[in-house]
Amino acid sequence: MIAKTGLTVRLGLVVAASIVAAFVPDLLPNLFYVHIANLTLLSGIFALSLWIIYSVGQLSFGHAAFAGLGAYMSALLAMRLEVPPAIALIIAALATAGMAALLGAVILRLRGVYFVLVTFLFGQMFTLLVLNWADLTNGANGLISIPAIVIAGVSFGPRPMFFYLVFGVFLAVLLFTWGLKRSTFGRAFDSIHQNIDLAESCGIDTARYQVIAFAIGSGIAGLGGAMMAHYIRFVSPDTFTFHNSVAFITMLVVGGRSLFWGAMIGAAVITPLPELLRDFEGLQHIIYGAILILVLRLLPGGLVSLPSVLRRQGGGQ
Amino acid sequence: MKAGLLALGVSALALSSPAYAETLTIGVVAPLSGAGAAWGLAMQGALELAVEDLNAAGGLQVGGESYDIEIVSYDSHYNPNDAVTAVNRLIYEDGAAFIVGPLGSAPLAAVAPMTTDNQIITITAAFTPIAASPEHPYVFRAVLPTEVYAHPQISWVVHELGATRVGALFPNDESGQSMQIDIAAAYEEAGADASAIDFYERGRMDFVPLLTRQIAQGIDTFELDGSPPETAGLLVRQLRELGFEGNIVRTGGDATDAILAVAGDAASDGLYVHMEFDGSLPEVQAYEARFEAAYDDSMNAFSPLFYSLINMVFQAMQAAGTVDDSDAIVAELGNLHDFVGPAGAANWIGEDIWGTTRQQFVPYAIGRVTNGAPEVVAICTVDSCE
Repeated sequence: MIAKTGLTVRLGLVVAASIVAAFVPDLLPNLFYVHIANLTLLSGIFALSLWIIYSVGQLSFGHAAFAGLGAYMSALLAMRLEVPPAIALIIAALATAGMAALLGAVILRLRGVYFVLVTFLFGQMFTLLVLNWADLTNGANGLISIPAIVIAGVSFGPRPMFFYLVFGVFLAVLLFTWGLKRSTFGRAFDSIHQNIDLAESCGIDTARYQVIAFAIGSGIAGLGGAMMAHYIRFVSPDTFTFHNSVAFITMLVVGGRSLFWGAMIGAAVITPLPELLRDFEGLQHIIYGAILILVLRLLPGGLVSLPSVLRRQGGGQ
Repeated sequence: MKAGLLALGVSALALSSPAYAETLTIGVVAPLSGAGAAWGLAMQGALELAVEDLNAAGGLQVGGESYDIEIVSYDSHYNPNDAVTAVNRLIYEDGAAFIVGPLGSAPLAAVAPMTTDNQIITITAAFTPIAASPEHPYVFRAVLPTEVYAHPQISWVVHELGATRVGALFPNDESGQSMQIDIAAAYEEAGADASAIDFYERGRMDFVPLLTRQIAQGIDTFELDGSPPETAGLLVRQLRELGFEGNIVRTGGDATDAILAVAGDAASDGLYVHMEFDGSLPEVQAYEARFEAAYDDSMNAFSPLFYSLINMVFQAMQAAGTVDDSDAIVAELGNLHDFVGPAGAANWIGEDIWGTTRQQFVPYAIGRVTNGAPEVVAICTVDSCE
C-alpha cells in the first residue's frame, strides 16, 4: 500500500514536471536561459548515465569519451551517410553501448584505482584517435554544420524546440534509471556495489551485471553526446575531454552518489553555476571552487542529503 | 521649495546628458585568463580604447541617434564549449550589436553557425578557413593567418638566412595542425627541408626530449610558429640550453615580449620574429604608449589590428545609418579602403584564397631581436618581404 502510494507520488511528480516544462521556454527571460536549461538537462543525462555505472561500484574517468563516441558517430552518420539525425542518434547510442560492452568485458575485471586508470586511458585514446584520424573525423578542425534533429518534419534545432526534446529524453532516462533501480537488475547492482565478493558468493553473476551497467550507462552517455552534437552543430576533440569526465563525477559527488536523484541535483547545480558566477569575473573560479569545497565539507553525502542533515540538526536542538 | 529644487536638479541632469542616448552593447569573447590571455586582453583593450575615442568625440552617432557604448566581456578560456555559452549570452541576454572574438579556430567553428544565423558581425583572430568562408559572411578577421604570410616570410628566411633543414614543434590541436601544414609547405616550397616536425600537448613545459631529437636530426633553423607566447619562450630557452646555435624563427603571431620575458634577452638575441605591422611607425608607437599607460602592461601586437577593424565597423555603421542591419554594415565595410589605423593603412584581401574579402591586411614586417627589442629588417606585402 505504502509502495503504491510512493509510486503514485513519484508519477505525479513526473506529470507535474512535464506540465511545468511545457511552459519553461516561454517563462524564461530569453533564449540564453533556454540554452542553459538545455545544457543542464544534457548534463543530467550524462550524470544519470554515470550513476548507473557507479551503482555497480565502478567510477569511470572515461565517461566523456563515450559521450564523444556517440556524438561523432551520430554526426558522421548524418553528414556522410545522410542518415536522419533522429535515427542516427539512436544508432549511435546502441553502437556506443555495444562498444562499451566489448570494452567492459575486458576492463571490468579490474577494480578500484585500476579500473579508474584504464577508463582514463580510454578517454585519452579516444581524444587522440579523433584528433589523428583526420580523414574520418576532420581531425582537430572538428565537424561543423552538423544537421539539427528533425522528427516528422519538426526541427528541434531552435533552442525552445530542443528543450522539449531534451526534456523528454531526460525524463525517459530518469524513469528508465528509476525502473532499473527497482528491478532485479537494480537489486543485483546494489548488492555488487555494497560487497562484490558477498554478491558473487550469493550466486550473482557480478561480471555480467557490471558489463550490463557499463554498457547501459555508456550507451546513454552516447545518446546524450549525440544530442549535444546535433544541438551545438559542432563537435571537436575538445568538446568531450577528461575535464568533462571530471565534471560529470563532480556532479555525482556534489549532488550525492547514494541516490540517482543526486545526479540530477548535481547537474542542476554544477551546470549553471559558472554562468551565475560569471559577473564576478576574476573571482569566478575561486568562488566556484569554494562552493564545491563547502558542499563537500558540510554535506559529505551531497546536496541530496541536505533534508536529512537539516532534520538531524532540528532534532538535536 | 524642495520640490522645485528637485525638479531643477532633474532638469539639469537631463540637459547634461545627450538627448535620447541609447545604449549599444558590444561583446568580447576571448581568453581573458590562462593560456592565450595576452591575445584576449589585447582584443579587449583595443575595443576599450576605440570606445574611449568614440566617447571623447561625442559618442557614436548613427542615423541621427546617439549611442552610449557598453562593453560586455566574457572569458572563453580558449574552449569551444565556453565560447558557445558566452556567445549565447551575448546574443540573447545582452543583445550585443557585434562581437570581438572569439580567438582560436575551434571556438570560432563552434560559434559561427550561431552568429551567422543571428547575423552578428564577429571580429576574430581564428586562423581556420571558416573565418573567411562564404558560408559565414559576418565573420571578419583582424589578424593575418599563416597561409597569407607564411610564403613571403619563409621565402625570405630561406633565401636571406640560408635555412636548409628546419625543425618545429606544434600544439597537437586544430590550430597547431593547420599551422603545421602551412608552415611546412612554405618551407618546402622555398627549398628547405621541413621534415623534422613534432607535436606536443598544450601545457607541456619540458621540451628537452623533443628538442634533443630534433637537434640530432641536424636542423639549422628552428620554427616557433604555432606555439603560445610563453611556450615559445620556453622553447627558445631550452634550445639555447641544449647548445643549439642555429637561427630561431617565429614566423607568425606576436609573441616577442613573452618570449623575451621567459627566455631572457641573452637567449633571445638574434631571434627572427614576425611583426604584425611595421613597428617603427610613429602612430603605432603612440598607440603602444597609450595602451601601456592605460593597462600598465606591455601591448600585444594584435591590439592595434583589432583597434583598426573595430573602428572600421563603427565607421561602416555610420555610413550605413544603422546599428542593426548587419548586411548593410557588411556592405559598407567592403567599401572601406586604405583605412588609416595605428598599424598602417588597412585593406581587404582574400578573394584569390577564400573567395571572400573579409581579411584585413596591413603591411607586416620581420624583426631581429637585438638587446631585448626587435628591429625591423624587412617589410612585407602580400607577395614578398624586402
